[in-house]
Amino acid sequence: MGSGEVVRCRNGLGVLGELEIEELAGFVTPGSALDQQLVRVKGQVYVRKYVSRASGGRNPHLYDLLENEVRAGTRLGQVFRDAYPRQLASLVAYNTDLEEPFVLLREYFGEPAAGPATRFETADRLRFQHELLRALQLVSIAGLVHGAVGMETVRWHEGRLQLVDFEWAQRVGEPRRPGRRSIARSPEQQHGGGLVDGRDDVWGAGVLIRELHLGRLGVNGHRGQDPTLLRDLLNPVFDRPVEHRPTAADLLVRLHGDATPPPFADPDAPLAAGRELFEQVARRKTGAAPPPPAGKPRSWLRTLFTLMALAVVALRGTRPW
Amino acid sequence: MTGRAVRCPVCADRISWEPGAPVSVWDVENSRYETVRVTALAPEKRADLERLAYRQCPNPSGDTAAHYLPATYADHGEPLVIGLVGAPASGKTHLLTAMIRQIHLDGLGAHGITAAPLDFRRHRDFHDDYVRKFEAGGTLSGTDTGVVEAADILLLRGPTGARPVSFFDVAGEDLEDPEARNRATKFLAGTTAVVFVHGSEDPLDTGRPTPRSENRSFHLAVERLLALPDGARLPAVIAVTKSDRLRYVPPADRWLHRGDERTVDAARIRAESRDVFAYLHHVGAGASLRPFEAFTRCALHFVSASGGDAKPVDRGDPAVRHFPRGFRPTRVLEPLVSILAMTGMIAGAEAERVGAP
Repeated sequence: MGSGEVVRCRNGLGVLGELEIEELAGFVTPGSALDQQLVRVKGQVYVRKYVSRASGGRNPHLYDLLENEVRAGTRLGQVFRDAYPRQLASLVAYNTDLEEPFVLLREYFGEPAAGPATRFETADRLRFQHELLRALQLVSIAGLVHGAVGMETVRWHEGRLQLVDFEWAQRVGEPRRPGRRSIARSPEQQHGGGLVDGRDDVWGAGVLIRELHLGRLGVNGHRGQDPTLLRDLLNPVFDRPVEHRPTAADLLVRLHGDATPPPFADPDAPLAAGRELFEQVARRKTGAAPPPPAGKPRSWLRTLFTLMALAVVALRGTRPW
Repeated sequence: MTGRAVRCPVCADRISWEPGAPVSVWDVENSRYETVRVTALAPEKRADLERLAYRQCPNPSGDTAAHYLPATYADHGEPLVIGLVGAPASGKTHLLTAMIRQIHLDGLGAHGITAAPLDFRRHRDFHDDYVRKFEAGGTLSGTDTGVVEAADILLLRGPTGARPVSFFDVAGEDLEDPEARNRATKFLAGTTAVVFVHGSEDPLDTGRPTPRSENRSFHLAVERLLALPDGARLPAVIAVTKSDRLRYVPPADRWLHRGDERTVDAARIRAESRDVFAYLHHVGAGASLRPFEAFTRCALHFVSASGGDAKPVDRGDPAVRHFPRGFRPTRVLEPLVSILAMTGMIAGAEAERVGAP
C-alpha cells in the first residue's frame, strides 16, 4: 500500500466506504501475531493490522487471527455504538477481501502493561484490577470472550487500562476452538471442548491478577502460599469449573468496584419487526389464528380456570371444613 | 402415446418418450447432431451410446427452435427443473457455478446424494466456461440475453432414487421483460422449483441508499408461476447472494459463520428463513419477499458464492476483476438442499417440514 492510498473498506455495520490511508510507521504489540503499522486517516492516527502477502504465505493461520479481530471488533461496535468504552480496542473499518486484508483500529493509548506493572504501587494494582475486570465485563456483555487475556494484551496509561489484540476472540455459545497452550488460558480453553462461556476469560484475568501481585515468576508458585486476600478472590476462579466460576462482574463487586453495565444495544433489535412480520405471514399461509395479545390468558385457559374454580367451590361445599 | 410422458425443460411441452426411438450424437467436425438407429445394437452397446447421446424434442407446440435432450432423460425418476430468477447482476450465475462445483465436490454426500452429469457435453462446456474460470479467481460475465437452454443437467442419485436435475440461469434482463413471446423465459412454464436470487448490494456501488422499491424479475416470475396449475405449490427458495458483505452484521453473521450444514433440520431452516426475511424487511427490500407470501413452501437462505468481493486486476482496467483471496463459497448448497427436501429427493420427517410456514 502506497502513501495516501484511497482504499475501499467497511465500517462496523458493514457499510462500504472509501478512506484515504497514509502510512506512518511500523507498529508492534506483544499480543499480536499480525503485521501492524500506524497510519493516518483524516488527520487521526490509527492502528492498521494486516496480513501481508509474505506473512500470509508463510502462515495462513494469520488470516484466521485477523478474521477473529474483525469479528470481535464489529460486534463490540454494534453493541456499544456511540457509548464505546475506552477500555476496549475500537474497530473503525476493515477489508478482508483484499490480497492483504486489514482492519483499522483507533490508536491505542499507553503502553503494554508488562512494563509499568513492575512499578505499580498498591493503589495502582487495585485500579488495574478494577479496570481489567471492567474490560472483561464489557467484553462479556457483547457476548464475546477475548481468549488471550494477559500482560501482552492489556495496555496501561495513568490509571486507565485498554484491552487490545482480539485475535483469539470467540463468540459466547460457539464451540470452543482448541487454542494455544498457555497458563493464561482456562483448562476448558486449552482443551477446546464444550461451548464458549463468558467466564472463560476470568481464568486469564485471575492469572494476570496473580502476576500483578506476585510477579511473573511468582505465578508459577503454589497458590496455597498466596496472600489470603488474593486466595479468597481467586480460589473460586481456579478451583471451580467454568459453569460455577464467578463472572468478571462478580469479582468486580467483590472488589467494591462499579459493575453497573454501561448503555448498550442489542444488535438484533432492529430485526424484531421483520421477524414478527414473518410470523404473521406464516400464520396467514397456514390459516392459523393470531396469538392472543401478551398478558391476557387464552380464552380456553380462562374457561378451564373458571371450571376448576367452580369445582373447588362445589367440593368445599360438600366437605366439613 | 405409448411412451412415458415427460415435460421438456426447454420448451415446456409435454412429450411422449417412446422406447427405442432414434437418438442423435453430436458430430464435432460438422457441429451438428447426427441421427443414429439404436434398435440393431447389442443392449450393452446401445446403453453405452445412449448415455452420451441425445434425442430431439418434438416440440408439439412448434414454438421453440430445434433442441435436444439427453437420451436418458426419461430413464429415471421425475425430472427436476430448477430455475434461477433475479435481477441483472444479482449473482445468479456465480451462485449456480458455485453450487454445481460444490455438488461435484460431494457437497450433497452428507444427505446420501451423489451427482453425475446427465448431459456430458453441456456439463463440460459449463465447467470450462464457468467453473474453471471461477476457480482461477476470475469473475464471471452475466448470462447473455436470449439464452433458452439449461445451463447444466445433472443426474442426482439418492436414497429415494435417481432424478435428472436441470438448472436454468437466464439473463436478468430477460426475466424482467414482460414480452409474452420471450423464449428465454419459457422454462418457467415447466419449472418444478425456483431459486429467487436477491443480491446484497452496496449503496456506494449502486448510488442508491436503499434497494429498489420493486423487484421486477421476482414480481413477473411469481405472477407467471402462480398462473400455472398448482403454481402456488411450487417449492421456492429466496437466496440472498453476496452475503459475505454482511458477514459481520447480524443476522447474516451467525449463519455464514456456521459454514455448510451436514443435516436437514427444519427448525434451523425456518430460523434462518425468519432471519433472512427480517433482514430484507429491515433494509427496505420488501419487494423481494413476495415469493415467501406467494408460495406455500418457501425457505430463505444467506449464501456467498465467492466468499468476498472481486477487485480489479489492474487499476487501469476496472472491468477485469478477480478474487484476490480465491474462491471461498459459503452455504451455496443450502438453497438446493431445501429444494431437494421440498421435492422429496431428500426424504424424512425433517425434510417434509422444510419450507413449511
